[in-house]
Amino acid sequence: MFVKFPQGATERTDKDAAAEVLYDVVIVGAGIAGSIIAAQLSEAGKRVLILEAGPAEDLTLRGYESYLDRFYSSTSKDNQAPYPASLAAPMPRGTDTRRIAPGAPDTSAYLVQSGPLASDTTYTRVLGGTTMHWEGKTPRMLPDDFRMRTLYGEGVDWPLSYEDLAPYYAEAERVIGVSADVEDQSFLGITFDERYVYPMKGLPLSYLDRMVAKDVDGMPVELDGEQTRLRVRPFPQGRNGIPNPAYDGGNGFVPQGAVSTYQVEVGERCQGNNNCVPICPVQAKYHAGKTLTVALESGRVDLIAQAVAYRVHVDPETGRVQEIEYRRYKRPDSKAFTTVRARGRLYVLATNAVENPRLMLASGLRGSSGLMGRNFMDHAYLLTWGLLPEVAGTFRGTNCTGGISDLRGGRFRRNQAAFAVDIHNDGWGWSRGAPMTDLLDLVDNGGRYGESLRQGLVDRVSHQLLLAFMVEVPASPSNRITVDPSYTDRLGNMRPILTYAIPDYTMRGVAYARQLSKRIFARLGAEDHTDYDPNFWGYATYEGQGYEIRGGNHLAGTHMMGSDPSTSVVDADQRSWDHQNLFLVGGGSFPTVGTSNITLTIAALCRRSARAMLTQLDREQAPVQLATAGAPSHREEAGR
Amino acid sequence: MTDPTINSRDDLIRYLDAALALEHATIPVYLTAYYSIHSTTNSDAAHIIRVTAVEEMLHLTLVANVMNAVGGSPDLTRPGFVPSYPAYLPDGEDDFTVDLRPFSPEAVETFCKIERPRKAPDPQARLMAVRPEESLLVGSPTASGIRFYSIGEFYEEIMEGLQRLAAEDPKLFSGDESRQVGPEQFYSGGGMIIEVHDLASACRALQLISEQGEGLDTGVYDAEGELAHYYRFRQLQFGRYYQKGDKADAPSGPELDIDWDEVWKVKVSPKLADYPPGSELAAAAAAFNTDYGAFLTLLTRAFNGEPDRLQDAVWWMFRLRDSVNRLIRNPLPGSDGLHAGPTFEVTGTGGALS
Amino acid sequence: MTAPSLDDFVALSVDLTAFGETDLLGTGLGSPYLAKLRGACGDAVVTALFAAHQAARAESAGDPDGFDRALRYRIFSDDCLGPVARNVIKLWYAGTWYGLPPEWTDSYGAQSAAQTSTVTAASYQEGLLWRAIGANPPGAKAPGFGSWAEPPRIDDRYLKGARR
Repeated sequence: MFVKFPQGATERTDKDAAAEVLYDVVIVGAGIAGSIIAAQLSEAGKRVLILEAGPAEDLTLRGYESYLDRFYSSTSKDNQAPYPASLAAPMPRGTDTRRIAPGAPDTSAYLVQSGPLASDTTYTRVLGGTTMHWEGKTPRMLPDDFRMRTLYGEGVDWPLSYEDLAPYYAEAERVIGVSADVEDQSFLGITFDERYVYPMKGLPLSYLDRMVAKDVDGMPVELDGEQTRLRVRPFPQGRNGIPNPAYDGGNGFVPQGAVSTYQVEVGERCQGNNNCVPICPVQAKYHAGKTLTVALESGRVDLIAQAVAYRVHVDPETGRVQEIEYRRYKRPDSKAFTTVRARGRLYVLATNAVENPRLMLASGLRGSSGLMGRNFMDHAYLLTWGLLPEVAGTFRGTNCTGGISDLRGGRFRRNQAAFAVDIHNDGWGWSRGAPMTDLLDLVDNGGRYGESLRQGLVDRVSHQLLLAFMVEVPASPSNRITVDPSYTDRLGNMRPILTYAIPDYTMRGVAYARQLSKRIFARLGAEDHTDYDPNFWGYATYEGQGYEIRGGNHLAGTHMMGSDPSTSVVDADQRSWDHQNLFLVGGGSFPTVGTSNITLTIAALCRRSARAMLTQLDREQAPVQLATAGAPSHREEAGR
Repeated sequence: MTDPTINSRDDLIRYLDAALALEHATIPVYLTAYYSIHSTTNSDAAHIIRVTAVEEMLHLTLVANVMNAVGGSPDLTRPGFVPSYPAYLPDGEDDFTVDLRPFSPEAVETFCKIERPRKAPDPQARLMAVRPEESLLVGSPTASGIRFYSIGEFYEEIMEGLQRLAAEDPKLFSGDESRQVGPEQFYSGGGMIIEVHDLASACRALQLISEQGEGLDTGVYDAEGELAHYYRFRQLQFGRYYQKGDKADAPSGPELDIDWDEVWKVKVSPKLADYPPGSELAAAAAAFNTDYGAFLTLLTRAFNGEPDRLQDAVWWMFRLRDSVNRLIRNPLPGSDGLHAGPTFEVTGTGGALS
Repeated sequence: MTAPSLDDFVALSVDLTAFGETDLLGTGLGSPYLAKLRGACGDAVVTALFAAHQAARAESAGDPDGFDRALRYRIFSDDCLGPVARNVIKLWYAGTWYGLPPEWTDSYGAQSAAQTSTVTAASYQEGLLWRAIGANPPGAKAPGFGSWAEPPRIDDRYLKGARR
C-alpha cells in the first residue's frame, strides 16, 4: 500500500492563527518520536501542533526523488548527501569532522566539538528526521541492559524493565514494520509473547554472511569464565519483507510502501538497493514520514515547518511551560525570520539527544538535578577489515543483514563493554571508502586497465569483509552537550557543543573486539588489512594500542530517565521532573544504550509516553490560564 | 443473445489461456515506453507506466490462479504466446494496432485505447466476425472467426462461462491449492493478489482485472478507491492528476510534468532483421530475447506448482531491465538516428535457465 | 583540426575498460563523457590521446602483449596523456571526473580539468565498477528481494583470482 500524504499539509497551517490556538499538545520535531506521539494522540482525538526545523515541503514522490537526485549527483555519498542543507537549521555532517587539538575546540561546523575525541555523529533535519538516513536495524534491548548497575555495577538502572517495555516493543515493531523471525531473535534473555510473530518474515542473510557463518558458527569464545559459541544471526530490520500470514492472530500485515500525494505503488518489499544509508530509493525502508503522514491524515494535527524552536518559556511559580517561542524562516538561505509562539496543554521536545538539551540549556533550563545535557552517549564503533579467501560477492543486499550478537551480554560486562558485530555488506566502504578508493588505487597506482582492472576489482572488492563492532558506552556526566552564547547559528540559535571522551570501560571492550576480530579472521582464513591511522579524527589509544573510533548516530542519555528527581531529568514516562507539562522524549531519556541501535526503543518509549500524555490530559481538566485574551472560540474546552 | 462460447472446462481453460496471452501482450508495450524514458526524468509518467506494467503482471498472475483453480496448467512458453508486434486489439467496431513504441503522445494514445472501457451496445454485439487478414489477440479460442467487441466483453464472457460451469459442475474448482500464488510471493501491485479456491474468489480475481484494467467502465475510481488504468493514462493526456470526486473529463489534482524530449527515440516495433547482421548489438538483442524466453519459463514454473519461483522471476525481470536499458541507449545503425530496442521475438519454449 | 569523434573515443574506451562497445554506448553516456573530456582537457590533448591509441593498435598489429606495451609506452607513461587516460577509465568505472593534479593543469592548462564532478545524475548509476563486481550501484538498479543470498554474478574467468 502506498501512504497518502495529504497534499498541502506543510503549508495549510497559518502560523499566526496557530499562535492563537491552545493545542492539546505542542511537539517539537517531526522525526520518529514526534510522529509516533502525534499519530497516537490525534487518533485519540487530541489536537496537536508539530514544529519542524526542516524545510516545509510536502512528502511527495518528486520531492523524495529530488533527494535521490541530489545523492546521485553528489561526489560525497555520506549520510547527509541526499538532504538539503539549510543555513537556518543546519545539520552536523560526518564529512565536517576534524581531529581536535587539545584545548582548541573545533567550531568550524554547526556542531561545536570540544573533544577530546571528535565524533562524526549526525542527525538529519527534514520531515521524518534521522530515520530518512537510518540504516533500519531494530534490535530490542536485552533485559540486562535495563539493570546494568544492579547486575554489573556499571552504568545506571532504568526505572523500567524489559517486561514493562515488551508490549511497547511489539507496538513499535508494528509501527515501523519490522522484518524478523522470533526464533532468531530469542537470545540472551529476550523473550516474546507466546504467539508473537514479527509483522514480516526475516530478511535472508547475504551470501557474504553465509560465507562467514560457514566458519564462524560454533566458534568457541571464553570470556570472564563463561563459554559461549558464536553464530551469525540475522538482524531485525525496519524494512519491508515478506508479510507473515501469522501476524496479528492470523490477520497478517500489509507492508507500507512509499509516501506520495498520489497513487503509486512502490517499496512494498526491499529490492536490495544496498543503500539503506543514506537513502532507500524505493522507501521500502521505514522512515518517520510514513507515521507523520498518518498523523496529518487525521486532520487533527497541524504542522509548521521551517520553524526552529528558540526558547522554552516557563512559569517561574509553577515550573509549567507556558509557550515555546520559535523562529520561522521563509527560505532555507534567508537570515530573516519571524518570532512566533506555540501553546499547548502539554509540550513534547522530540528532536534528539543533542537538540533537546540544547534547546533547554539555551532557554536557561539546566534542571534541578543539573543533569540536562550530561551523560551524552553514542555507540563507539570499531571497524576491522580483511579479505576473504574466496569471492564473497560483497556490495550486495541491504547495508547489513547479519552479524554476531552473542557478546551483547554476559558476566564480562562487570569488567568491559559488550558489543554487537555487524557484517557489512558494503565491504570496506565505511572504513576506507571502498570500492571507489580501490578503483582509484588500482588505476592510479596499480597501472591497471582493461581486463587486469576487472580482475583486480574482483580480487580487491568482492573478497572484502568488514566487521563493525558496536560497543556500548556507559553514561558519564562529563560527556555532555552544552551551549555558549558566543556560538550561534544564522537564526541566532545557540549551537550545541559536544564534549566527549570514551570511558575506559568501553575501551576495554574495544581492545577485546580487536583481539576477537583477529581470531575470527584467522578462522576464516582471511587476510587482516585493519590498520588504524594515528591522524584519524577519532583516533584513541588504550594501553599502548591505537584505534579508530567512529560515532554511531545513536544519540542518547542527555535527559536521562530515572525514579529519583535528583539523579535524573525525566521520569519513566519521559516527563520532566521540573516541568510537569513537558516531556523530553527520545534517546536522551535512555540511562544505558546497551548494544541496541536506539530507534526501536525510542519508538517503544514514545508509544508508552503517549499513553501517559493521554492520561495526563484527561486528568488535568482544570482551566489553563492563557497568557493573553482572545482564545479562539472553537477551543471552548480550553476555558472550562 | 448469441450462443455461449464456453461450454466445458476445456473451453474455459482455453479462454483463460487466451486471457493469459492477452494480459502478457501489453507488458512489452509498456516496458518499451517505460525504459525509453531518460533516467531521472519524467518521474510522473514513468511511475504511471511502471505501476500499470506491474499490475499487468498482477493480472497475469490472477489469471494463472483462476486457471490453476479449475485444473489448468498455465503455459507462457507455448509458440505464439508472445505476439508479433504490431499486434491488434479490439476497440469496439474497429480494432487498432499495438506497436512497441518509445514514450510519446502516440504511445499514450495506444495505452488509452488498450485500457479504454468499452461495453458492447447490446448483448448481440459482444461477438463480432473477424476479418480474415487480422491476427487478433481477442479472438474467441473456441469459435473460429469470432472476436470480441472489447477486452471487457471478453472477460464478461469468461465470467458468465465460469458461473454457468460452476453451477453445473460442483467439482469445477478442484485444482491443487499449492499451485496458487499468494501475497507472500506476489507484491507491489495496487490491489492484493487473490488466491482462488471457489467461484467467489475466481470472480473476485477476474473482477479485479476488469476494474483495474481493460474492463467495463466502473467510473474513475474502482471499489477499492484505485484509479483504473485508462484514467491513469488519461492523466498523461490532461497533464493533471485526478482526485476523488473528479469527473472523467476534468481531473483537478496536482499538475504533472511531461517532457516528451527526455526520451530515447527507439525504432517502432523493431525486429532482429533491422540489426546489422553479426554485430555486437544484434547479439545483445538476440540475447535479450533468449533471456525473455527464460523469464517466461520461470513464470511458467511459478504458475505450475513452484510459486516461490516468482521471487527468481523478479530478479530476472530486474536483469531484463538492465538489458533493455543498454539496448535502448545504443543507436541502431542505418535507422536515421533511431535507437535500438528489444524486439520480443520469442520463439517457443524459452531459453535455458541458469 | 577536426573534432575528436565518438567512434574514436569508444574504440579507445573499449581497450581501456574491457567492456564492449554495446556496453559502453548502453550507458547512454558516450557523448556526455566525450564532451566532458574535451571540455576538461581541450581538443588538442584529446586528439593526441586518440592518435596515440590508434598508433598503439597499428604498431602491435593484433599482438596483445605488444599492444599492452605500446599503450604503456605511448599513453600511460606519458606526462600529458597518462593522467588523462587514467581519468577516462575512472570516468567510465565511477561516473565521476576526478580532478587532475595541479602539475598536470600547470603544464597543459585547461583549469576546469582540476574540478572533481559527476557528469549527470545518471553517470553514477552507470559506473562500470558495479558491473565488474557483480553488484548494483548502491541506490539504483536494484537486483530484487533476496537475490543477495545467491552467489554474485561475476564471470567465471574472474573468480579464481590473481590475489594469491
